Amino acid sequence: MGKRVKKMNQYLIIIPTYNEAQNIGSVLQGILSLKLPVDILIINDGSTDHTFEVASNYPVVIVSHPINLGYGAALQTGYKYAAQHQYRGLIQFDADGQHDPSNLASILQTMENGNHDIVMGSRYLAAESTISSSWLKQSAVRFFRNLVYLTTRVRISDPTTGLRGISRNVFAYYAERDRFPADYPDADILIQMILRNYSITEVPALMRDRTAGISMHAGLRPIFYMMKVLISICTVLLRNRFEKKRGGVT
Amino acid sequence: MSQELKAFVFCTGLLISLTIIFYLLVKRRLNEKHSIVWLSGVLVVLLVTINPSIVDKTAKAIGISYPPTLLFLFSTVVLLLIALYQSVQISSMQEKIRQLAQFSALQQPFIQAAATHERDHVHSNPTTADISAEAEEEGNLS
Repeated sequence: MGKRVKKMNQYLIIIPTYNEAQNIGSVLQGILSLKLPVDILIINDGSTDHTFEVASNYPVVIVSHPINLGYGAALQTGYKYAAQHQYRGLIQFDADGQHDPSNLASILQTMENGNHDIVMGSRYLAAESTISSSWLKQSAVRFFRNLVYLTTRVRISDPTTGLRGISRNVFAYYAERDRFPADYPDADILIQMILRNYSITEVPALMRDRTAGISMHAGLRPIFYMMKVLISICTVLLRNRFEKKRGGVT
Repeated sequence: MSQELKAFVFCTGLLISLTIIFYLLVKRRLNEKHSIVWLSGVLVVLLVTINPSIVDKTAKAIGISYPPTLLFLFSTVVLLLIALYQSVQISSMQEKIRQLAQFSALQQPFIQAAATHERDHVHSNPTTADISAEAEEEGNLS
């Protein structure tokens, strides 16, 4: 049934995983070889391949969704787990091999030392990232960067990074229902986090290329995705304005 | 229709529609993805409203002699497509509900085994012999 792994550390790495049987082994090996004081949680988002079997070979905790719910929902499951087991903080890590495990130590250190609620790994702060993004992806990131600055006056160089550490304050809030999107939390959630006065800092992070992108290059879909995020941002801003008036916090 | 009237109709219509749609979005009663559909619909309806000649010209080009029927045809087709899409969604959700229910049901034997284990072993005050025996059993299970 898998090794029984108990909570041993204050920090948890959560890895939402969907059909990454090919990558998850090397990803886990990379993290475990660093021997960091962290526990690892795999959220198997209804994979239909051998992701579960491959991950079971490592000393990690695995929770499996019986159906595929989406990246955001998988993250939220990780938040619920971290809240239930009273972790001090968690780090989100991708299962596709894009994130380099060497970044984890600096994120962990920044979380332990500083008083930051959110520590984001930015590929644009690192000197030698081997990312060769298309101009489409670059302009999308630039667009979101400007949008974040316009609405919050905060400069975030990599608003769409999946590599980030968050403190208990943050994940305990987003673990509750109706507070976190199911598909993909993007600049809209980042803006909401800033408006909730969470302190955010960025550290440089090394990232590698992903051969199969997240549908950024699939025909008309980027346009609909952009529209969806823009509408979401408007909703976040409206909610912030109206629920602040009533005295509540969004 | 005068230019001022067109502007007024367009702006008022947009304001009312956007208020309704964003109210639903803020209250989390409507999905962002679905709202794209309704917002586009609002835009199309308002554009046709202030330029009724679009309908006349299109009807003439297609060969429809009574232009309003084009409007009815178009709106009927759109509503049918929305209904079809929702049927597809419902079918998918029914299957997901089934998977979830079956998954829950299959947990019951484990829960019952754990409950039985608790009942049988947490009955009286455990002696040190009981405690070390249970610890050994736990070790064997993992």
